[in-house]
Amino acid sequence: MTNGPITIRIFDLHKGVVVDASLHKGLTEEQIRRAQAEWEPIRKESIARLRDQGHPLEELPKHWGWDWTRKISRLGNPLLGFYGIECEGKMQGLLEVAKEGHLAKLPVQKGKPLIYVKYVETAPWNIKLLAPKPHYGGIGSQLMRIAVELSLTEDCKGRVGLHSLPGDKKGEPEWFYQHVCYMEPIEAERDGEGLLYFELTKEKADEFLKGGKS
Amino acid sequence: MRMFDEDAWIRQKAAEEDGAFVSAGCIMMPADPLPAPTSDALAARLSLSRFVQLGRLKLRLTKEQFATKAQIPLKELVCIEDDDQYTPTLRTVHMLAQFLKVSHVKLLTLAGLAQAKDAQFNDAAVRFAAMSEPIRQLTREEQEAFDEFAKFLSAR
Amino acid sequence: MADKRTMTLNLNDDEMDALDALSSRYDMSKTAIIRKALRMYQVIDTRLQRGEKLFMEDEIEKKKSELLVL
Repeated sequence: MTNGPITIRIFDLHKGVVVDASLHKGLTEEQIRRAQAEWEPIRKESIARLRDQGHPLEELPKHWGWDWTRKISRLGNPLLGFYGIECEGKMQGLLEVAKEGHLAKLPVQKGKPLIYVKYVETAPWNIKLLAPKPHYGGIGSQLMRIAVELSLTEDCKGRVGLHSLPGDKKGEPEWFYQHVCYMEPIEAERDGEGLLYFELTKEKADEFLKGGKS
Repeated sequence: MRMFDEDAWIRQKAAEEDGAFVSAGCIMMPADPLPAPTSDALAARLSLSRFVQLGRLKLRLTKEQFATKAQIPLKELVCIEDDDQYTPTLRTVHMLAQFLKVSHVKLLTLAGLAQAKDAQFNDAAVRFAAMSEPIRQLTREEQEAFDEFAKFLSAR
Repeated sequence: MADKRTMTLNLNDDEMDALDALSSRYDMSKTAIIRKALRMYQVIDTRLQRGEKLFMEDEIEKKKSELLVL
């Protein structure tokens, strides 16, 4: 099910200004196919280029085989949420969340329901590692904001959990969740692929929404 | 009460984010529930299984020796060779491609981690799977089939 | 999202106690609990209508048991 898009703001890094973007709550098959068709070749070329430049294998983004079209069969599932940020006719970021079935693991909120981010990705042209001059900034933060606001709507008090793709250096996923989103890592909850689990408490969710401690 | 200034918030977050690579989920992104694999996908996986096994036999290596030289987990090598339903990790496919000197993109396609671009790829995979049977020593025909498929996988 | 509509819900003591307990355990309003329950039931019902069965899995014991929904 999709509703009409609402306007949100993102940062155009090329122009140095804040611009309007459309937040789609609920995605269509066509939107997903188009995003995948636009992202995949750029993603792969960029990573192949990095490899050719001699970047070690361990430092290459691990998500380059991702295929969002595999999720099309789940689009109507009421337990899940699909969101996309669109600007200039292209998806700039995609998000899939689970609204049910995940409970918090941090001792301070153990057992409480949270919104679990199943998949999140920003378009390859927005990532510094893949594009010399990223186009839009703040997409990742806006996607996380969507997850936090959904958590509030669902009465999960802003609690969010996810398994991050690897990389704890500045600019890498684990760093992003910890330092930009104020999430806490839990080593003991790594998944079967060894991905590190991060969780946001309601206090930190509030901080995140306000842009830091007031 | 502090009113939310979205513009100020996004400016701040864009600066903090600084083009960071934002991603969460899993490395392999399985479809869930897994749809029944197509016959092309099954043939491709069987080809991968046979290709790796024949590649190892051609080099006259045991599984352990091969795993060590290719720098991949032995457990994964066993799964790749013996279970044609097994999907290897991205890293292992990269290491195999490097070790066997074939295109990592094509090997990823065989592994089911990337999509085949055309029917030619699927046809080649099916032919190879049909030709090769796992035995201890390569027959001459298998050696030739292996060399030809390896040449195909190495081509850009 | 569509505008919300209000309904009155009559529950017996046991049902209300169960709702209170869930609300307290999960730190959620009773309304939120009922919404979650409805959503889960909706999904389960769709799958049951297709002829599927509902199972719970014990991850530690690696055991599956069937949950019957009448």
